[in-house]
Amino acid sequence: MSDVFGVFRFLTIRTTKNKVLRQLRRLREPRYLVPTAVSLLWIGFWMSNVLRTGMRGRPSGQWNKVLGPEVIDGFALAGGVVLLVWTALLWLLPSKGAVLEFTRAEIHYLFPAPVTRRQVVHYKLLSAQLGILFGAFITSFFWGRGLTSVAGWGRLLGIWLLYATLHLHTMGAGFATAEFIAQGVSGLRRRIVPLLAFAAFATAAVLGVLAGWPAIVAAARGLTGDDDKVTREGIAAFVAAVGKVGTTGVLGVALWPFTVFPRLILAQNVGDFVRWLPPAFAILLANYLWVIRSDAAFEEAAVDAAQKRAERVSARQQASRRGGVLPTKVRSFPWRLSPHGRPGIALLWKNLVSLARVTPVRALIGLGAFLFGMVGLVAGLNDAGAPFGLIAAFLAALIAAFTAMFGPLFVRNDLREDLFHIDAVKTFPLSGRAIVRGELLGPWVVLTAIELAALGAAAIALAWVGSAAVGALGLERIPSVSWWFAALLGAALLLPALTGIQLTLQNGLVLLFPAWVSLAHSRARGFEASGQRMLTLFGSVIVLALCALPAAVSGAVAMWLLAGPMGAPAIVIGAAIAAGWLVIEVWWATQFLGRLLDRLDPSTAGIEAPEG
Amino acid sequence: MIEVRNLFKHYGSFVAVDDLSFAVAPGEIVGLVGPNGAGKTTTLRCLVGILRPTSGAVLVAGHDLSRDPVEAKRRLAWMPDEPHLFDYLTVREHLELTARLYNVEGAEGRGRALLEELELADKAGALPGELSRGMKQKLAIACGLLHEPEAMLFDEPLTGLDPYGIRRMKRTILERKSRGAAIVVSSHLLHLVEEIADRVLILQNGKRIALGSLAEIRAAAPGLAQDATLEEIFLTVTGRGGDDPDGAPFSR
Repeated sequence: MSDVFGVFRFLTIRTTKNKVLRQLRRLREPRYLVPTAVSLLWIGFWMSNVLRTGMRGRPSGQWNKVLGPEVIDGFALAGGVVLLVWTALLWLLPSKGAVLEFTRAEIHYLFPAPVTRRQVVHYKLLSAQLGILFGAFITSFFWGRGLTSVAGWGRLLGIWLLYATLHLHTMGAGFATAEFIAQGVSGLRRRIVPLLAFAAFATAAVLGVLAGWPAIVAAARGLTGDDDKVTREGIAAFVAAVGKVGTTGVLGVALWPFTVFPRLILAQNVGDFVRWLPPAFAILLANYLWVIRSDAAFEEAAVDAAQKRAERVSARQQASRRGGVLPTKVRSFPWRLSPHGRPGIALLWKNLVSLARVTPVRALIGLGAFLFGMVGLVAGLNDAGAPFGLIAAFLAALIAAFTAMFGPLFVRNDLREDLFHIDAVKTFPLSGRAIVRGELLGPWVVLTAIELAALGAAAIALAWVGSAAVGALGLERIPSVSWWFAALLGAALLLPALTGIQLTLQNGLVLLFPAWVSLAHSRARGFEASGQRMLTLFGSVIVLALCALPAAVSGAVAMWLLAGPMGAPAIVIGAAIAAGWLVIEVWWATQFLGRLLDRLDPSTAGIEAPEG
Repeated sequence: MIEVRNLFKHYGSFVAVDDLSFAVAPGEIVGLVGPNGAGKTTTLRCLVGILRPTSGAVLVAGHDLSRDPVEAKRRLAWMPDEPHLFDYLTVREHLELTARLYNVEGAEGRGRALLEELELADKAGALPGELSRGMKQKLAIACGLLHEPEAMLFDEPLTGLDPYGIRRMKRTILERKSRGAAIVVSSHLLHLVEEIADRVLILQNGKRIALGSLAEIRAAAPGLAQDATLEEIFLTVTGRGGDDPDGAPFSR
């Protein structure tokens, strides 16, 4: 074992030292110095604030006083449910990333070395602890009280125990999956035990909820006081009712191990903390023994799987400078690209194919069905509430708005992916602006389709409930349902344009600061990376606001002027004017970005090291 | 067909390519050789428009790569040492993408023939992740050949290929030469360059230290035997030959 510790110590110390030295040397360049300074300033400000508030010596039961012990208990229970769901998903949808991940160098040096596989696993477990401890440290600071009290240090210990256990359990599940695969057990058979366990949990949950439902409904009705305002006592009673369902009977027994860590972390006094500490350690130890006390075939299978994955990841990062998860099978794509026509469309096609092959379409449809099912359930249970159709319309409109606001941050199959292929992209016989526009089209088409589908669903739902719903919700101030439809139509014009400007902005960041942006699925770490992310986030918000300002002002003025004489159509015209502004901005910006792409030199832009 | 005029590429104070000039005629193969870090890959990447030269000009079929990049690139094909493939496109889809980008007439038949030629026909529906290193290389080459380029640049074209693949690759390069393509082949495999190249360009520290046919270089190099191989020439002119450690630069 001492060898493993020695190797770990050597690698950690030398790697850290060299990494820090390299980062310090890079600070000579402004593009690294500025974000590092911003990051350090922010962290300094934040830590001093945390320490200052901690120094005031708030009583350890502060949350208890503000929220009440019942609500804290409710949080712990909810945390337990989250952990239960997470564990269930881990087993039901095993990820290829669940097993140990080795770098190419680790494979090259550690695997052929005269050490046992178990020692290699120990080495990896030890290496992971640094990251886990740092994550726990950061989380405990975010918790708001810092580490200036015993409770603060206790919280750090609790969070570390939780993270370490989750890490071990993920690894154990990955090992088990690898073992099943090695034994030729596949598909449903491999998941039969977790499926049965999950079914048992689900049955226990349903039975528990059904048994406690009258009490929950009664408590929900008591949430508001005489003045129709939600009271603290009402919340406490409601949470207590839900808590009773989750802590008694079969469900209580099933949930217990999952609530241990939340209860430890949320402990409001030393007594509580000491009470939950031994079971937390016991669960950690059980997971550790489970992972480490495996037979040789078990470990071989796991390590082999890890090696294959590491090779794939490493090859992707080092050779191709690409990111993302490689699909294991080819899904057919309905659009066959013609060899003739505008070449830029080829980029749209390529990005749509890529997206279609990595998007879990069935899971998304399932999630959508689940969401609308939940809406139906809530509407059905809530006898005094709004009609289902109106809630569905609201939900659909909300999805459209969220897609326009946040979709461009998550659907990244544009230059953010293709900067890894910059060598190939730059040899295409296309102008820079054609490449930029072709790249933008991929995510834009997808997001716009979602927005229009959601707005269409909202319109259908609205048409279904009709004007009765407006009256039912006390929205008589709205002249008629036609205003709602006009708003939806206006949104159908405005949201795609907003998506376009957001995508342009995100891709602009890639071309303006290629060394700063997280490309594909890579995620840089460290002070300079944090500073870069902060600067790009703030910068993009400001630029977005500046871009949206003329559009918003001109659209609003048009609406204000036309609302009187025209009525509802004024909304559509105002939205069209605003969208027109945004389209002009996108056109101009893509011209500019095209020139930037033409001039982009991968070797000096920080995307790659200069070659000799 | 390919004309390079006074090409410079600087990285800060480091000069990767130093005042390089040469031309490749239609139907000619120029072998690009040099020690590690000589600037071969940087030169090639400048030639295909990936890197921006610090100064100088690159012309492809008379089109300046800086001023008229689209027309220049339409005539170019770049086969890098490390194939740049898209993770989520199949082999056939890579060809379809290339066909659309270059507006290739009869792309389907030509693509099928190329896949047959490069023995990738049974992998047409496979993603790059399912291909071996050599197959990826072949796919990158198939994409490069699809639009019948007039100028072709190969960077270590034999990397990852098996003996059959190596033989086929040499045949492919020579066939394109016979059809009139101007070809630059960069490789450390000096016997390959000696076998297929009409002229050789030797770089060192970004500078051209020799350019010409083997016979021309032999004639210009003092102390070289008339039957000296490219390896002997290379070692001599780069100053690493045992007989001539100082090896003064020369060219014609």
